Amino acid sequence: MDRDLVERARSGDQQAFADLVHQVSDTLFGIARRILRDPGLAEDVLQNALVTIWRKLPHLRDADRFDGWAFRILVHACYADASRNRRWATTVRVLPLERADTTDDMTAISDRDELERAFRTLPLDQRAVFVLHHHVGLPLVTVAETLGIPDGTARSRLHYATRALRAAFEAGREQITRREERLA
Amino acid sequence: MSDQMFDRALRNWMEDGSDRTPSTAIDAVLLAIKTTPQERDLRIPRRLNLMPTYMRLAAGIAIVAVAGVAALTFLNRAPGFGGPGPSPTPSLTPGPTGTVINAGTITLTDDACTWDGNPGLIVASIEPVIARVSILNETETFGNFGVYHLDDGSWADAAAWVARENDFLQGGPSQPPQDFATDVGNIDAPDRRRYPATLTFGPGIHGIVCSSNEPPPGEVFAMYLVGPLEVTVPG
Repeated sequence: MDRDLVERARSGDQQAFADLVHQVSDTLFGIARRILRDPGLAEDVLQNALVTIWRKLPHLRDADRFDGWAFRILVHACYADASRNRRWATTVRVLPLERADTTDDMTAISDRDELERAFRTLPLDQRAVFVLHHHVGLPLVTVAETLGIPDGTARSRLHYATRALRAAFEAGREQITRREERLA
Repeated sequence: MSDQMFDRALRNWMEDGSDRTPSTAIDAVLLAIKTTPQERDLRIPRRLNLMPTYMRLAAGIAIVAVAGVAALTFLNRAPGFGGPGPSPTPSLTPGPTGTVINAGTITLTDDACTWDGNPGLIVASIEPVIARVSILNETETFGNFGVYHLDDGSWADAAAWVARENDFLQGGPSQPPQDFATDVGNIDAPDRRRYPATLTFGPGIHGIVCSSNEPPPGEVFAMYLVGPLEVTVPG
């Protein structure tokens, strides 16, 4: 993160903020898309979060902590949007046909579908911890600090999320195995 | 089922799709900030940390000296401490201190605040009304409960003001500070647990604004209004 850009944006420099947005928007969009599982909603949330970040930047004391601070605003924008807007649209993923003709490819598709379905049933607070830890790569202590929750809470949210995903994954694999046995 | 298989599937699924922000989203944000003012930072700068050591020492000595003078003054005036004081005025019956009631539980959750057992209307023979309430913070954030006396506005004004504040917190337009209610009390509930509390109410209509936020003076996430509680003292 360019500290100088943050400092300038904090003091009201709109061009500096524009440069900052170009630096961070893909990361923030990736987080929102993974938490919400809907690119359209993620785009709306990202816009709200970036405007909130602009508005609240003068409150940020330490420019070096910009990333975590921005993640927190984004995650809370996800929570707010989810409670305000319950349109949980189904995202249709188009798969290239030529990739789906081997058993391995079918298994991979099945894995993704099972994980996707299971993840969508998780509460948003579990999703947020999971995404910040597994996608962004933050250590759990940093995730807890970013979200303003105790370490133990972050740990338990990650545990429940992982347990649900693993159970869905294993159930999917067992189904495939049974189907293959029937066909054999 | 091996951990490696699960980890690989998880990784493939997590990395699915594009993270490229649509340019229309960025354009919309950059357009919005042209007309969106930044909030002013009203926090008191931590000047003490920037002071040289000798100045901090001098400030400490000054504080101790002022406290010492205040304590000596108090001891000289208080009966029974440090010498004779004025005799207390005899009284046959002790003066009443207020009407004590139990006023239920105020619960703050991630998306609501409720007040179970709000007495609503209290007809008190003696003011103030001292209400014992249980404050329950069920969020993972810092909870704050501000008690407001509605001086000039109605309950609907208060509800509308809180709704506009929430809109502002979500990026909506700013609004002028409210001028129809007075802050008469405040309770912090820093963690997720139950806090016994005592609130004091004078005559009039009151509301409690519950908010979930970062520890003050940090960001406020959401605000809710509970009540009303009205105190009347006949005669």
